[in-house]
Amino acid sequence: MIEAVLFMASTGMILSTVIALANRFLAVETDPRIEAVEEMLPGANCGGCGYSGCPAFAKAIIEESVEPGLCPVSSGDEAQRIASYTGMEPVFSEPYVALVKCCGDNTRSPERALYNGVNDCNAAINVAGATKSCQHGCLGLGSCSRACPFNAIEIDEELRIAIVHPNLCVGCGKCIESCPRDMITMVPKSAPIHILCNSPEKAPIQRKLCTRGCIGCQRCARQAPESIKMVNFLATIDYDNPPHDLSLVDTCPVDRIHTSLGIDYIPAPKKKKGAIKSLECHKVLGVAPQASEAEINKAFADKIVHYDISLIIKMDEEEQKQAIMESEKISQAYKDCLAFDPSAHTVKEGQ
Amino acid sequence: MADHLLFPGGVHPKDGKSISFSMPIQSAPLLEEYTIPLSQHIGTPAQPIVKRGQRVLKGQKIAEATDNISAHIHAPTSGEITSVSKHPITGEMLAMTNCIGPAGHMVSSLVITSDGEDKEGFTLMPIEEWQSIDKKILLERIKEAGIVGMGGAAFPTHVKLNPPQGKRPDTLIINGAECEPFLTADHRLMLEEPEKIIEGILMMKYILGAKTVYIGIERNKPDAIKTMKKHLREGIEVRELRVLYPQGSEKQLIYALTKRKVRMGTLPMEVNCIVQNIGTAFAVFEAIVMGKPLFERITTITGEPVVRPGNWRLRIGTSIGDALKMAGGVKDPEKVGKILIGGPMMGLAQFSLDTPIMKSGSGVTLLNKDEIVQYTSVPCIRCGRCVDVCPMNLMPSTMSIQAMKERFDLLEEWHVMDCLECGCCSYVCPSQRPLVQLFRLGKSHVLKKRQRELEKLKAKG
Amino acid sequence: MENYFVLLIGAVLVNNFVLAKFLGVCPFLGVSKNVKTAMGMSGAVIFVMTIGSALAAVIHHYVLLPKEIGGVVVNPHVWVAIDLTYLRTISFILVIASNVQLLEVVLQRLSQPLYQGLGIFLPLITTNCAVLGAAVINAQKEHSIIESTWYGFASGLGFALALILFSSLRERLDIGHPPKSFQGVPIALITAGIAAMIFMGFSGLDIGLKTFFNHIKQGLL
Repeated sequence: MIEAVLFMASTGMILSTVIALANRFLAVETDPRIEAVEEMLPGANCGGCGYSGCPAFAKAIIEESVEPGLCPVSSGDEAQRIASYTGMEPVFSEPYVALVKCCGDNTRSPERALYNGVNDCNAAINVAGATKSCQHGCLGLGSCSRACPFNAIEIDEELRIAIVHPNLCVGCGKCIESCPRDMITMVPKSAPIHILCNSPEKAPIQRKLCTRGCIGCQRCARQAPESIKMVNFLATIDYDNPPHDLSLVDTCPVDRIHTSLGIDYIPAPKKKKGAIKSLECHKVLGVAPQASEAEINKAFADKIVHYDISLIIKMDEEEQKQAIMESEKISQAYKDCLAFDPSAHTVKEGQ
Repeated sequence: MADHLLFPGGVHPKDGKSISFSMPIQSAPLLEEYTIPLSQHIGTPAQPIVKRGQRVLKGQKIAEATDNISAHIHAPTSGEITSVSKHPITGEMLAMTNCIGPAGHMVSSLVITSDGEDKEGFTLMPIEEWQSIDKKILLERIKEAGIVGMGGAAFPTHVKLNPPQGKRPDTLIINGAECEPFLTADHRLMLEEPEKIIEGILMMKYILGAKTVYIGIERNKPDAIKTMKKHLREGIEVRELRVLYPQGSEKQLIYALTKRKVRMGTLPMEVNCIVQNIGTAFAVFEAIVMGKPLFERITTITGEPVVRPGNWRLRIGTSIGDALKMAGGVKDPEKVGKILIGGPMMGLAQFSLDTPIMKSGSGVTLLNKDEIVQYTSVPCIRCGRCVDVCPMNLMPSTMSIQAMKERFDLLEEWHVMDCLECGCCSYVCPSQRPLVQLFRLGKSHVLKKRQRELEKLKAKG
Repeated sequence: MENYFVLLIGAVLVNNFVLAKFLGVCPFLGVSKNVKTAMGMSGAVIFVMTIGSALAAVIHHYVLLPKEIGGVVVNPHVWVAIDLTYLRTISFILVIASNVQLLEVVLQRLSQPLYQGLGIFLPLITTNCAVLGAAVINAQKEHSIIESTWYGFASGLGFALALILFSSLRERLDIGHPPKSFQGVPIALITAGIAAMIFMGFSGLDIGLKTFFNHIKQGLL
């Protein structure tokens, strides 16, 4: 028994002396704080901070006193923790997201040739400059989507356009390098108005290239001169002072100022050629725009029965007024529906 | 029994030369407008030296070389500069406009509206007795005439013929192979102007101080071989080459004729060889003996859909549409599947008939819809056909898988930068994979990475 | 001399520690993502196995083995008169653990990138059953000290061979197209199984060699 204890104790002591000596003479000084900071970082290794990965960024924070807020993935609380651990003042930077400055999908900027090759924007750009009519538009083949480590960019296969989902985007910037046409920019998440066009062409040329490209009419720039600047024939928003006036949307004749980054890009609904647009009167009566006269009559009869004079007498003053207004509305709608001419409201191709 | 070596790999695509090889060279009629891009050569684009509205004469210099590796551009006819655009920042009115280049991107260009008179304005004096003139003066003349490689690469000739200190090329190889299918421009030039070509070759030999000159001509041009052999002079040898694509490529030619191997990543200068195209030799002759700058070239307009295919002496700035009109137009526009500048193996597909033909445009090839294949590519089946045919001994199968997985670091290790983009691998692939396009993508990524590293080094100081 | 050769072939090919004995599979799967880290790990393991087996053999022979008391033949090498073989496992582990710790310190000084690249798998060599396995097999087969050291080195080589081969295979699998459900670890495990079957082809080689050398010695060949 005692021999075992003695043996183990002596071996243990000899070996630990050797290791202690080795540690003394051969050990490498590493700051333990670097590891601690590395623990606090998200560990996504996305490179959004500008360094090659989270360990490198942690090293830079400790050794070069770099701002922990540079990390786009970590939340404000996490950056605060790192800042208080290292004794630095936290700086809160505004969250930025990526934005693809183009809304010219297949329906608006048609393809000028058939492309048969690798489905990658960088590859397609080398083949006759890719197939979109507009030279500055989004090709929609997916280089940015594949580059995004957070799967925040969606490619609509049919429309061939890239859409960034702002609630998934952290602003690391990997997509910007992957776009061969340099049309992805970082915008503040809070800015509500964006101009989704990247083409500096003049109006007559631009209209041929894309039905929703910026023609440089300058109406938006004139209304908000401190926020919107003209570069060539392209209106560009100055994101240091972004506009917040939502009425700017109405000034655009080609309607490509979109209201909010929070709403995911909704492409124009594809109306079938030959569809008939419905008017207000159809909505009131609840009939389809191509309804026959018999149907309109029936719908009117069904509705007006609720406003029969015998019922109105029983109501009190306020209700009577309401009921009379309603019945007048329905009567007017009935007249409009009968007078409706379908051919004048048919959807032609390209709307 | 051939008197030369065979390089590894290579394919035998359909020749297609019978359509146009018997058509003698025709002069192109004068057009109303010529759109001349400012970047018709490898290197920095030329800068225009004319103003908007200025009247120019045929052969007058309209754009100047900006750098060491750059070339001058001369007006193809007399007329007025009508291109105009506004500088985006200064608002100044410039004599430039944008046109679609062969690669599909918009390029800056000058537009000359011809006045119909075609008045000459050559400013270079003809030099008859060039043997007694200093080499430097001849080189200067080649530079002034704006001569670039006429084989398609368009490298400025005065740079190629002026090797740096310490390099003494002893062999000059003239490329008369014209391995690209459908093109017959060099073939006709050899048949019709052999003396001028030989004299041009002798000038280049004199400038370089080379000891031996080989003219390599593929066996499918027996009449050209006979004609050139008839007009041979001292020190020049004609060598028959077996028909194999891409025999006309620099490195393959050097290996076939001199047994020297150009190592990966190096230039032919390293093995003391210089390769020039036969059209370049002709242009050198015209520049020195006639004082004529480079503003026209022989171009083959060919293909099954063309009404009257043949070879034309076209002036630079002729659009594809105008060239096709000269060839009688197209038989059935509905049937045309592809329009290429160059041949089907290495040519560039076009989507617009307004693209101008430049100094590097050796041909316009049209292909019918049933001659081309709309493909969907499937995964690599590792059959190895591409490895068999690659003239640079690369492994396109593995490299294509790496490219599809976007592992461009591995692609660089597997020597994608040495790929010639000749198209042999894509031609034989049974899975119809777009191999050359994947390698072009890989090359652009590798170049971007190297550029970034260079900038990082520069920033560090 | 031939004995050492047979031991080498046996440890590297016939009874490969990873692919035949299935010891040390943890770093085999964990460090085989690319060939460079695999080579670094192999070097570390060869070092630990050699020195570990040597030290373990020394302790085994000089400290743990019993000695007969009372007039019967006493092993002159043994100076402890008590059978301490039950301390085998724990003392081997102690030796191996301190060995690995020493290696860590040295490696961090010599090559920081390799140290970072190996990460957690470097201290895990302690628990690598291949190292303890080599030491224990030496004790079981009653190899001499030199034989033990050589056997430790050979088994380290076998581990290195398996690891480097497997990491090259995994690099190729990385750019391949296995079905979605197989990508990553599943296809790696299947490949490891196939690699184990491949090494079964060597079975019987060490016995054959031993017989061959015996026949030479006996003059039959």
